Amino acid sequence: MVNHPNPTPSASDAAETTGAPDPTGASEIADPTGATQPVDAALPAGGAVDVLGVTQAFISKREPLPVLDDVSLSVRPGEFVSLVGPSGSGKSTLLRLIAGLDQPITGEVYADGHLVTGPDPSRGVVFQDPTLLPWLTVEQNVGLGPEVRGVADDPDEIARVDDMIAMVHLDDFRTALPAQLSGGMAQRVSLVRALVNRPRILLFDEPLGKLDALTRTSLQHDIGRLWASQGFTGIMVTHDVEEALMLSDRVIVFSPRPATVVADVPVDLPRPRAEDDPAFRELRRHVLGLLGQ
Amino acid sequence: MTALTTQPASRPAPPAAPSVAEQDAERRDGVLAADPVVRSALVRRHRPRTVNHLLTGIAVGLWAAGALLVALVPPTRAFTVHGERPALALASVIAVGLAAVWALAARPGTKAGLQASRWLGAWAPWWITLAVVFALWELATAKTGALTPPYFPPPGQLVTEAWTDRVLLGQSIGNSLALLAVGLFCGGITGLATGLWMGWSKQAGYWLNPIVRYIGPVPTLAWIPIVFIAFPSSFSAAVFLIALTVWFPMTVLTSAGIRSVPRDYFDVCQTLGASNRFLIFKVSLPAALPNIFTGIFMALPTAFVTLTIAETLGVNSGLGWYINWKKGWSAYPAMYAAIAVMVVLCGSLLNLELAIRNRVLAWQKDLTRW
Repeated sequence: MVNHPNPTPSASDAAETTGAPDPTGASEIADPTGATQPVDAALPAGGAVDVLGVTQAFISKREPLPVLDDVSLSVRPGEFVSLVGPSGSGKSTLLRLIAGLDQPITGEVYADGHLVTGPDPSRGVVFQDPTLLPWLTVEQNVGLGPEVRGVADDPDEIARVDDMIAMVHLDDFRTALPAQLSGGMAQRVSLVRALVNRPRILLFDEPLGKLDALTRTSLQHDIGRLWASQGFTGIMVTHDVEEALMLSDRVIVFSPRPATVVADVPVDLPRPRAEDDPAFRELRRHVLGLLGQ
Repeated sequence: MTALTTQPASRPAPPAAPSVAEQDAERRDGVLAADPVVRSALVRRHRPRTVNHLLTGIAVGLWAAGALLVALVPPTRAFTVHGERPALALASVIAVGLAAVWALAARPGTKAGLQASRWLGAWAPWWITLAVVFALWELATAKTGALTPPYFPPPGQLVTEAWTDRVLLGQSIGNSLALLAVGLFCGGITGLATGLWMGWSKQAGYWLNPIVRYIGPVPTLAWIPIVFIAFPSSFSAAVFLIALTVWFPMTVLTSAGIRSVPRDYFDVCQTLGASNRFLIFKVSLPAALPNIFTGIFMALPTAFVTLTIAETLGVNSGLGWYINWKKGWSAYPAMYAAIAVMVVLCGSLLNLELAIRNRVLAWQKDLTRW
């Protein structure tokens, strides 16, 4: 009975604390596409994320195991931020808190100024494993978001699903089952499945961690491309410094467990970025140094 | 950070089409798939077994020989009913039928021809074996009387007996099937519901688990004295007994299936906005289907056992009752005929379950086809 699912209720129907403190003040001034001037409905604005003094711990072998130690950080709308740190340092735990899949012991997580109390379709997650539902086709897996919201028959949503499948070049595999896909293809499906809901914030939990080098490069490219065209705020957990520097506006470096924020490194390099660019190499050396390598 | 103001400009434009390498791969894919050498090699390697004319010829010949054996060799006087005419009819029909399918298979161009060819390719050895068994049986009973009557009736006599008693036998089959259907339905639905509830809710698991574990394994026979007194009719009592035996494996396997659904499935669906209802019926239930089918597979044979016991001990109808009734009159050929009907019925139902399972679970990677 320990592994009983016990899902938390959706945040959208519960009382949400509004007007939360926003230490950076970022979400008020900087929402160029969202509240002030809604330009294109198909292009959702990125959301802001504020993590305030979050501490998280688990019980392991009957002993408390602190994982996050008073972590605070802010991500502005439309930004792409990577969280890097030694493996097992609690980056994924932080991502689950932002997603609303777990609740912190102390501290608060705000998304667009609203206290996060549970998962919500406005915050999508791409997990390390594609976790496609094996009895559904590619098309049905991508359409899972509209399906759970009860709008699967809406022509706009159907078109959206089609567009997203086309975006990652899987048109020929619409009716394929997950068992028939390669690892990279499955991860592409899970990427666009998270995007179909037009999330304001998209969380990546080591999305390329289990892929081979070639597939990894091509998916990195896909993620960058989708971020550029869809306008979401991206937060990615990774242990690959190069990948973080390729995609992000900022790289936040974590200490070993219990994790604290060690450094916040801005990546002011023009896109597309090249690994052999001296400035890129200098940044990589800097971040690896912060990680103690 | 300048990211905010510069973002729209700094974001690279998405490339429109697949890369050159991908296009080239697609082109070569098409060329290779159309290559006649590749095609014929693949056909040779993956062709399903089609008709073997030698084996099919032997099968048809043996059944024709069986028919001749029945018709030409004089029977002994040991039996009151030989049933030589039905035996002759049976062997002739099979011989002619096999020959007809063979003729169809000789024209493999058509869809029916191909199907006939594959069917013969798969089952010809079985038809040969059956013909030999039939001939030996006929020789040992009707033709020589080597096996003692009435315990060993000749094959034709089973058919004669079943046909003579067709009204009662038909009613018995109907009653058995009705009882089985109602019992399976009630037990299956209850088991599924209990299993879902136990798998999903800690509270339900706490209260139901001990009940399931202590009531479930009790053999049906032990309940019979209570149940046939407690229930208003023997039919409802029998339904209850069958439902009880089906309920146990269904509950245990469904709840185990629900509890072994990967947590990640729930995480993914929750981040997409799924409600509890969706998680139960659209995620847990399909994910638990492999277990549920195993539950049905285990429930069916125990349901057959309970059905027969209930019919023998309380319900005065059905195949179980028929078999006992005929045994009471020492009408062995009719009893054997009813047992043969039972073999065909139970086997067919189990095969039907497996066929449905293989079809429904086709999405499973490396599905073991039972």
